[in-house]
Amino acid sequence: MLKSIKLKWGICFFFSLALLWAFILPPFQGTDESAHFGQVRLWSTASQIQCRNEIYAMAQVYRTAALRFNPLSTYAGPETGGRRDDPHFYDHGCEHFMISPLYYLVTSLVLTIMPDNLELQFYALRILGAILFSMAFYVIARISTLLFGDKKDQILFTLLIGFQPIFIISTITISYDGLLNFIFLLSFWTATSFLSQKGVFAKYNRFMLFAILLSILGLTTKLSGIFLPFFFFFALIISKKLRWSWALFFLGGLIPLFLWFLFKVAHYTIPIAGMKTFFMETPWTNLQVLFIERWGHLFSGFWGEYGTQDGSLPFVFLLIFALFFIFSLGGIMKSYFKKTPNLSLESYSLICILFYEVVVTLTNIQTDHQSILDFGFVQGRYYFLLIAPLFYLFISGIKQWLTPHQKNYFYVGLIVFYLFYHFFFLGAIVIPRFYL
Amino acid sequence: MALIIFVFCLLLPFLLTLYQNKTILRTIRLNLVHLQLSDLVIIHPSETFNFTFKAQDENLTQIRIFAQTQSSFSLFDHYTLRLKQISTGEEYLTTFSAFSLWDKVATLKFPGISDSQNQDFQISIKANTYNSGNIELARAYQDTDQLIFQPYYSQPISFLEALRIVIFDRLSWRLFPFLILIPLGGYLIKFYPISKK
Repeated sequence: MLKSIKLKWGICFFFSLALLWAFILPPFQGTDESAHFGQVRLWSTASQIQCRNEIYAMAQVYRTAALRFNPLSTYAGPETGGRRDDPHFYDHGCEHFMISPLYYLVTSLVLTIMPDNLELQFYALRILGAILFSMAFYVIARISTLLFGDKKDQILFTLLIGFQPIFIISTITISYDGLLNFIFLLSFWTATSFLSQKGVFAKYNRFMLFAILLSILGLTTKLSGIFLPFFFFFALIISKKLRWSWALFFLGGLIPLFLWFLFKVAHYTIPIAGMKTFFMETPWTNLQVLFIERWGHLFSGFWGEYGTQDGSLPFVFLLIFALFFIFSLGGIMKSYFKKTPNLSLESYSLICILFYEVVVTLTNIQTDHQSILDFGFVQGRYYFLLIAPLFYLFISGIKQWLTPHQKNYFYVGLIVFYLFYHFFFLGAIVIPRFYL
Repeated sequence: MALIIFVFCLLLPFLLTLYQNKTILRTIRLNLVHLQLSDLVIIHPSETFNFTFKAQDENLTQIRIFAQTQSSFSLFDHYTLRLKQISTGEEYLTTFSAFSLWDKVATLKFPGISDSQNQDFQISIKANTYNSGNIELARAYQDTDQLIFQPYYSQPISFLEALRIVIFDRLSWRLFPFLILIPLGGYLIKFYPISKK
C-alpha cells in the first residue's frame, strides 16, 4: 500500500489515535473491563481476596468519577437511578477461572515489571492496547497490498478498518477481544498470502505452520478462536492444495478441540437448552427475531455501541452505512455473474463470513427473546473477528458499480464521510457522555 | 485544503455538540431533587477549610461527600477530608490524592443519621500540599434519603468558557495525542493518490 516511510508515519498516526481513545475513554467503560483487569491482577500478583478488594475499591472510585460525568455509566445502571452504591454488584473478575489464558498471561507479565499502582497498571495496559492497535494497522496495510492492485483501494481498505471507532475501543480497552481480533487479522493475512501466492505465507509448509500456530494462539486467547482451524481449512480447499496427510492431521487435531468446545458450550447452556422450545414458536417469529431484530442490533452494535450500554449512533449514520452495504452486496453479486478476477479471495472471504454467521445464528437459537438481546451473540463487536474480509467484500462490491473516474470522487467522499463519522463518534457521543 | 477538511472532520462534531449542550454544564449530573451550590474552595498549603451545615430534610439517612481537586502536580500531595456530626462528635475521615492526573473523586459517607432535621454537621478539608489547590463542592439532596455534596462546575457563562472548562479542566492531559494527530494527518494526506484525469 504505502512506501515504508509512509507506513511508519501511518503507524505513528494510528498509534496516536489509539492513544487518544485510550486516554479519553474513562476506566472500566470498555466491555467487562473491570472483570478483565481483575483477572490480569489475579494472574500477576494478587491473591483472590486482595484482588477483589482492590478492584472493588478502584471500581468504586471510578464509578464515582463516571457518575460525576455520566449518571447512566456502567457503574450506575439507569434502573437504579444512579444510586447503586454496593460495589458487590460489579463484576471484578477475581473469581473467574479462564480456560483461555494467553491474554492474561502476556499482560500479567507486563504488570510484573510495573510499580504496584493500580492506575499506572491500568493505563499501561491501555497503552499496550494502543500498541496492539498500531500492530494491527501494519497487518491491515500488508493485507491490503495482497487484496488490491490499486493504491486507492488499498488506502480505503486501511482507513475503513483503522478509523472504525468500535474496533479501536475493542482493541485499546483491557480485554482479550483486542488480541483475538489481532490474531484473526494475522490469520487472514496468512490465508490471503497463500491464496494469492504472494507475500511471506505463499509457500505451503509455511502456511501450514502458521495456520497451526495461529489456531493454537487463537484458541488459547478466547473460545471464539475455534473458528480459525476451519478458516484455514477453507483456504486449503479453495486453493485446491489440500493434502490428505495434512487434512487428517488437521481433522485429528480438531476432535479434541471440538470436544472442548462442546464442553464449554454445555457449560454456558446457550444453544442446546433453547433448541427444543425454539421450534415451538411460529416460524415467522423465529425468523423475525433471528434475522431482523438480531441483525438490527448487530448492525447498530458494529457501528455505534461500545461497552455495555453507553453511546448510540444517530440513525442517519446507520442508514447511510446500510445503503452502502446494500450497494456493495449488489456489486458482489454482479461480480459473481461477471466472473471477475480475484474470485478465489472473494469466495474465501464470503465462505468465512457465511460459516461464522451460520454458527452464530445457531448459537442464538433460544426461545427467551429478552435473553437474546441481553446475553446472546448479538453484539456487533463479535464480528470484528471478520473485519478484514467484511471490508474487503465491501470495497470489492462497491468497485463493481464505479468507473475509474467515478471511483476517484466516490472514494474521497467516502473517506471524508468516514472521518466525520469517526470524529463524530468521539466528539459528539463519547466526550459529551463523560466530559460535558 | 485536505488539511482543512481533516481538521474540520476532527473538530466540528465536538464543537457543534459543545455549542448545543453548553447549558448542560449548568445542570447536575445525578437525579437530584434540590441543588444548592457552595463556593469553589481554594485552600492554601496546610490550611483547613471548614464548612458547617444543617441536615435540613427529614428522613435523611445518610450524607455523602464528593470532592475533587484539579491543581496539584505532586504525587505526594493529598487532602484530608472529615465529616463530623457536631452534637455527638462522631466523625468519619478519608485522605485523597491531590495529584490531578488521576482525576479521582474522593467520597465519604456518614451513615445512619437520626433526627436529621436538627443535626449540625461540619466538613473539614485540610490541604497537605505544597501549592494552593481548588476543591469543588456542591451540595444536593438526592431523591429522599441522601444529602450529597458533589463536585460541580457552577456557571459557565459562554461557549468559550464552556470550551475552556471541557478542554483544560476536564479533558486536559487526555488530549495530548490529539496534538500529534493534526500534523501527522496533514503530512499523510499529501500522499493520497488523487488522479489528475
